[in-house]
Amino acid sequence: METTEPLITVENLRVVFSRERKRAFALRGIDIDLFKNEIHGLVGESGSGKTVTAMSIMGLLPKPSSKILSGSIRFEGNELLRLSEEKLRAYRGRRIGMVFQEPSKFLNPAFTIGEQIRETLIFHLGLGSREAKAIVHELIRQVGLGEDDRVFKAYPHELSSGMKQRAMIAMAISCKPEILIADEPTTSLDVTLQKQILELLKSLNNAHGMGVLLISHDLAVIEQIADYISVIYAGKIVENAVTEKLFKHPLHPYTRLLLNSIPRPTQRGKRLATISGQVLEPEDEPPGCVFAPRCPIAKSLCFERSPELLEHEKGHVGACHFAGEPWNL
Amino acid sequence: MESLIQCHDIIKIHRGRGLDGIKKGYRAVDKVSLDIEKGSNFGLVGESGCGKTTLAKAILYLDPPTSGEVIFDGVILGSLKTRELRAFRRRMQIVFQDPHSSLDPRMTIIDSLSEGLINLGIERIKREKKINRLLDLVGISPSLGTRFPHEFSTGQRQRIVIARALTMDPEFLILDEPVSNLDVSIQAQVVNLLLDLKKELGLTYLFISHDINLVGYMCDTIAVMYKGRIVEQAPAEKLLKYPQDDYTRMLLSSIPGGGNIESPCVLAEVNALSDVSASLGLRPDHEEGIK
Repeated sequence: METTEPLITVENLRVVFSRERKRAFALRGIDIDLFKNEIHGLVGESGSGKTVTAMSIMGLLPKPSSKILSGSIRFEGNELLRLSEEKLRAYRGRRIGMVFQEPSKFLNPAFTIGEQIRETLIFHLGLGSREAKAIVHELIRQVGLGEDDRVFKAYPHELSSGMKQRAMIAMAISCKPEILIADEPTTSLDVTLQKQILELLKSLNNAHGMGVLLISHDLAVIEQIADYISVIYAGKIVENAVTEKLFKHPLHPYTRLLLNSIPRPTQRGKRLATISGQVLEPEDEPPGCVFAPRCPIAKSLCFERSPELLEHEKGHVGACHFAGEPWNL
Repeated sequence: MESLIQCHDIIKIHRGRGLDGIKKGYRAVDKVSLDIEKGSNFGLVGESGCGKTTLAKAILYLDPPTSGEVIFDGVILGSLKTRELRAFRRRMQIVFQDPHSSLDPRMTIIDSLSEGLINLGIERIKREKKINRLLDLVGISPSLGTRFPHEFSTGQRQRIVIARALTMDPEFLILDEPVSNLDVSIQAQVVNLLLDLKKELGLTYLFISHDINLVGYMCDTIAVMYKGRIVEQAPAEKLLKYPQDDYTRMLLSSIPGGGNIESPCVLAEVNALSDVSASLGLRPDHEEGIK
């Protein structure tokens, strides 16, 4: 994996939202490399900037309320941030597909599932409508929605939420994109369905070599299928590692606490770890580490200087002044 | 151990009309019998739409069951008159999933917490004392009591809802997905709080959740609900390790980080099961016609 170039590189991305003269720092430094064949998990709590990251890559940030302060998003050497809306459209949907959290919000209630998927194919690939229809049938079959015409002709309201999510995935992969961004694809689903959707993503990743950016607040979900995990806190990537390493030897205190706060049947009788304090206000712009106010091992250095994202071990990156030191939490 | 709540063959049928105008009944809860011991932490898991909340409401007689009986501390709730039932309600309270919709946005926290106490005719000074003590107990500074719900975070709001449920000094608390809307770090705080309260106040919990990891962590007994029925019920550790029912096995094999089930031939059955119902995500559709 080291030898190949990443499909997409996000570097020090900083995004600010302005509202009534207030500035909210949504992203304070995002660094992500997504490779071919890889499932890359992006995990963080609500409000940490997961979706803003996805929207930035897709070029879907609301304008003019948002502003990109610095950073770059490179796809095959092209700087996506500098592309015109028109040129961006050739990427969005065509080469970067996206699955949103709430399928019912992103499917058009007035068109059948088949028509909606077909539209993408006709727009991006210039296919004729009959040709496109055959592909749509194949896609519907591929995501496990049955062989017959039933789902093709169904309107979104006729499907259950699991089926809608599958339809969304079919739409997102219709043009065989190199990258699929899945933003909390299973959050509104039951565990049994969740597993199926994750397996579907995994099999698509295997079959097409698609790079998948899987966004979730649930570490357990990410653990299940991701090869690589980035942990985001208050708009900043604080740690980045191969899944196993991250779970075994987290470099950042936030990751450690997050892992300890997940209830597991094996932990019966033990108290769950909690993270005291509140998440950084988006308006704040501290000079030091974003996690310092809540960090149990923070020292004065942590409040003065922001730690850089450094490689402490091969394939394991962390942004903490005391990463690698044997702290006990 | 003595049981606090006993349910015998509870059936709840939701009645309504289909799109064709024909009267239909929908069996949301189908012959459920439960026995919840005093001081226990009883877990109820199942996927959405399987009837967990309907069962909870039936137990509290908020939405009385169509048939079957609920026995609370030896008294059959169905036999009580409205006034008598009201007195019983004090002893059982419920915390809902969404703390945004379960607090009145136009009432301050103190007002929300006072309502039940005023109803009981408790005088102001005693009321305030009690509310302050409860807010303190759930980790909300009593000085914030004059604020409105929107000024609090989701985690704080859930704590306030828990405090409100405790104003009546209940013995039995139904927790209906109380932490599902919370982030993991906040979830851990509320879970710890619930376990502390249980110990401190000697409460009995019916803990409803779709998160088996969480239920497995918290509860002593777990019941698995599917399509309105309890398909399996056993002590937590036993159920997690040696699930008997096919659906339970499928559920356990689906949980992230799961796979500590020690029974062979699970996979084949799981596949068979998931092919039929879950793969297409069908909702329970055991409707029955009513004349």
